[in-house]
Amino acid sequence: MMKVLLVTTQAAGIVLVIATMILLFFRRVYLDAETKKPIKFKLPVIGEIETQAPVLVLVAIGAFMVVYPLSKGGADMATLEADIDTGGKSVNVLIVAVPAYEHSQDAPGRLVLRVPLLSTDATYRVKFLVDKQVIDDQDAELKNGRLTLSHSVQWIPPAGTESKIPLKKDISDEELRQLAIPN
Amino acid sequence: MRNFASWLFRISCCTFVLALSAAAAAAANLDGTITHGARGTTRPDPLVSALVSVYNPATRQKMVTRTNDLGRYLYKSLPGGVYVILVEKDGRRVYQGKVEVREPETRFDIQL
Repeated sequence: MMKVLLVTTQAAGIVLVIATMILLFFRRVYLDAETKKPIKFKLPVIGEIETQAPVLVLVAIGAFMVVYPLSKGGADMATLEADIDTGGKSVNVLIVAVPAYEHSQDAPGRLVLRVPLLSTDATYRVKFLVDKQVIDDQDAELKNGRLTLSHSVQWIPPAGTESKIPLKKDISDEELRQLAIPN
Repeated sequence: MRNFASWLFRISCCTFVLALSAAAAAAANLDGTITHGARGTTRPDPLVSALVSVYNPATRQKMVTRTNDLGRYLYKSLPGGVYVILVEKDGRRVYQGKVEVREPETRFDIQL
């Protein structure tokens, strides 16, 4: 939405600047509608300037409308910097854009997740995390649009690690029932 | 030609103002951090990968997201109003409460 608005603003700015140039070329814009003369004014250092103020205003607004979206545009690349010490062992660094294709599953069952096809020879790795700890890490084979894992994921949480956070209620169960929200 | 310039100027200004106002009025964001386990001076831990649901009783709209590694959740472009917020961890509800979402940004941290 924001991008569309910025592009629209920029397009309007370009049209404004071009149209102003055309008007300037044909000398069709004047400050004073009665005298049809350009304005003259004096500046302390530069001296007397003869110009067409409406043209300046149009150009200034148009230029702002062109430059503003540029300043709001996102960068193409991001830089990651990190200090790493693995005691002499080599380390592989994978950077994964998480939010768009992250899947969370609370109960055992089949996982079906669609991910973008980067290219036909792309390699995919699938990591499974529980409480930030990687419990399984597999290469997924890409064939005919399907990503296949070598084995199913099974993990048993160590004893005593289940969530023991008590329920905190800032609204009562009765209120939830009144709002038809299941308990 | 002057009429053309005048209209062009007006249309451009209107477009610009509309673009800015529409961007500014793009509903409300709701974000916050969910933590647990603070005891005395011990720092609380972030509640990671918790399911955060918000219900708007007025519109019957429900939205769901998860907390990240820092216990942070974020909803973008919510219509303003009062929402019921429910937090679940490992299939168990750990929080139920209400939050009033106001434009442009509402922060709602939960300490369990």
